[in-house]
Amino acid sequence: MKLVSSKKSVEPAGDPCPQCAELNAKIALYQRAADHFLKKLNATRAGDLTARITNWDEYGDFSPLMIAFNASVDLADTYIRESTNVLEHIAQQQYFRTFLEQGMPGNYRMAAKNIVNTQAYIAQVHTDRNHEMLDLANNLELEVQAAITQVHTTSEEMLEITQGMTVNLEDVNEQAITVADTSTEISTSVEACAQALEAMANTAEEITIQSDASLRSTISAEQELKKTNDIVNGLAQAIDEISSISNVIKEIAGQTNLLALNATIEAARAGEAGKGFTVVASEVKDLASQTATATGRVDAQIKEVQEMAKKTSLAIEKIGITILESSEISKNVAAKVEQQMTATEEMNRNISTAAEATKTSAVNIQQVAEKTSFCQDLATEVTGGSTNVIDSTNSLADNVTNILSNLRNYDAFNRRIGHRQTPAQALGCAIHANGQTYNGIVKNVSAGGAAVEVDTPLRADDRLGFTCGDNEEITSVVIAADENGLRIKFSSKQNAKIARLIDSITEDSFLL
Amino acid sequence: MAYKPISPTLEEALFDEGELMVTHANLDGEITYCNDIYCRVMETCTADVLGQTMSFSWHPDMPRSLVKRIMETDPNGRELFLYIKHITNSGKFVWVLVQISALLNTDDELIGFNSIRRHVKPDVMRQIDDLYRSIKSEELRHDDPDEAMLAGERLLNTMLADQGHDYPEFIWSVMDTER
Repeated sequence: MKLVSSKKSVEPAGDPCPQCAELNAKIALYQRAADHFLKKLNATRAGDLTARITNWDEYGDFSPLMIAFNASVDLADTYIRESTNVLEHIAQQQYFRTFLEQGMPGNYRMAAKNIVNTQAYIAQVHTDRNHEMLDLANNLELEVQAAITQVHTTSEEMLEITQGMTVNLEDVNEQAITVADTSTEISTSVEACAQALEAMANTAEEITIQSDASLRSTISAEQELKKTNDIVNGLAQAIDEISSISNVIKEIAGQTNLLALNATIEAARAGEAGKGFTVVASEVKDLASQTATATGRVDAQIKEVQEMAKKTSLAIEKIGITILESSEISKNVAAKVEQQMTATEEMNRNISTAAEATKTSAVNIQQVAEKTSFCQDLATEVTGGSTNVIDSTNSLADNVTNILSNLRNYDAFNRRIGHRQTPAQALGCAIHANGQTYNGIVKNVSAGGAAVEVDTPLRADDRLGFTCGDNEEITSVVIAADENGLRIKFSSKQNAKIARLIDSITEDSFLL
Repeated sequence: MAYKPISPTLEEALFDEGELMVTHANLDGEITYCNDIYCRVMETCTADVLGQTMSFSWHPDMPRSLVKRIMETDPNGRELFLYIKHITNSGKFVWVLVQISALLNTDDELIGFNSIRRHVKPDVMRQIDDLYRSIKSEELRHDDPDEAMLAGERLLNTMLADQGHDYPEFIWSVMDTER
């Protein structure tokens, strides 16, 4: 350390005392030191913490005072810097910047400890909140994803069903149209049938009338036949009478012949006188013979007539039987026709009902077709809706993933991305590569990667899967490999997995 | 930068855990204040220090690319932490964790930089020593000083990226092992 050169000190004239000169120089130095000190002290008093006595080692006896002043201001300044920096970091929810207590004595140290404790408390609260948020995010994710999956599945099922339904409805609609067409045809047919039945009924009525007429004519034919039979019978009687008259004539003719014969004989006895008589007798005999011949022919004729009368009678009898039969038939026909008419009427009624029903059914089928068509529209809408729902749920899922990843990336997680965590206890892990599994110990882990104590043949740029405890596998790549193990880097887009991993490791020793 | 031709020795300067070395620098990087601890550890006096550049007392083992990192740090931004190996006037070495932050006047205007140097524990010292040695050797592979600086910077950035850290987080993760 230098002393200020004494050459500058004033040497009052006429005072050659060397001690006095030295004392005067000292006083001058003290004076300057005191002035300088006061100036700087006033500056600090005014709040200027940059004020220092920069050439503090140039004030001789006053240097310790200057050093003490500087040290005091340095301490105050350092304390303020530390608290400001810590507070600024806390304000940005960063807790790794803690108060550096090194070189802080006494009250400063106590105040610093206070700040450290408060920071720890805030960090704990923040961590708890983040854990809550992470739990919330995880639960939300699970639930929302489950719900979305459910909605998705249901929508797809619905889509499938409605698509099936649409196909079925198309069939139904087609069938309904076919049925409607058929119904119309049936309706037409039934109407035709009804008309045919009516015609049939009319015909049957006519048949009834005609069979009535036929019956009536049969009856009158019977009567006429009876009359004819009576006449024929009368004729037979007359012929029988003629026959008996003819027999009388035949007897008379026989007796006449006998008489003529006797007359001839008598005439012959009487000779000439009798000769004329003989001629008459012969004539009478001829007549008698002629009469006999004639009656013979009459007999034959009569027999013939009798035969014919018999035949006629038989024929009439037969006709009578036939007429009777025909009459029976007519009666039967009439009865049958009546039955038929009743049946036809019944049928007609039924057909009418059928026609009505068919008409109604046609109308109904038309409605079915309309409704089916409406259903088809609805099904198409539902199909569209289902597709929209699927799209929406997909985009919802994406959004939820985004939201959750945002949530997970929120503040505290940012800190973790950079900050390396060293597990408090030995933490086992498994490295999967090339179909092999290597067990190792995690030395430290950050959201960017991990250092693992493990014996593997892996080298830089090799890809691997990193599994730690119950956590999911994290795809990683080797950055460096040496005899101590691997330094690996987590591949991107695994924030959620990494956050969960880090969360599981730092549960107990999260705070700095 | 006028470097003193000091030959480094393997002796470590005494710098206690409870001590702070404090310096101020103006906006040009010239030292405007150093405290008594600084002068004692570095075996110097204010007259020799004031007006020097911030990195004048860096040990020759220090990678020069770290100067680039300091220069590129936004003076209005946050504090910068850096592990530095200093060389004292007699060639001893001393490891410090320097915290550089803005020096503001009472009108809240930036007038310079405040540096607080803290003690570093031996195991951290070894870690940083290894790291800096590899950066330094990368720098030494290039003849052109600018090239060397860029190469060192690249290596540090690659190492940080591999570990998923940015520089402050790296510093704090190393500091964590200290506690």
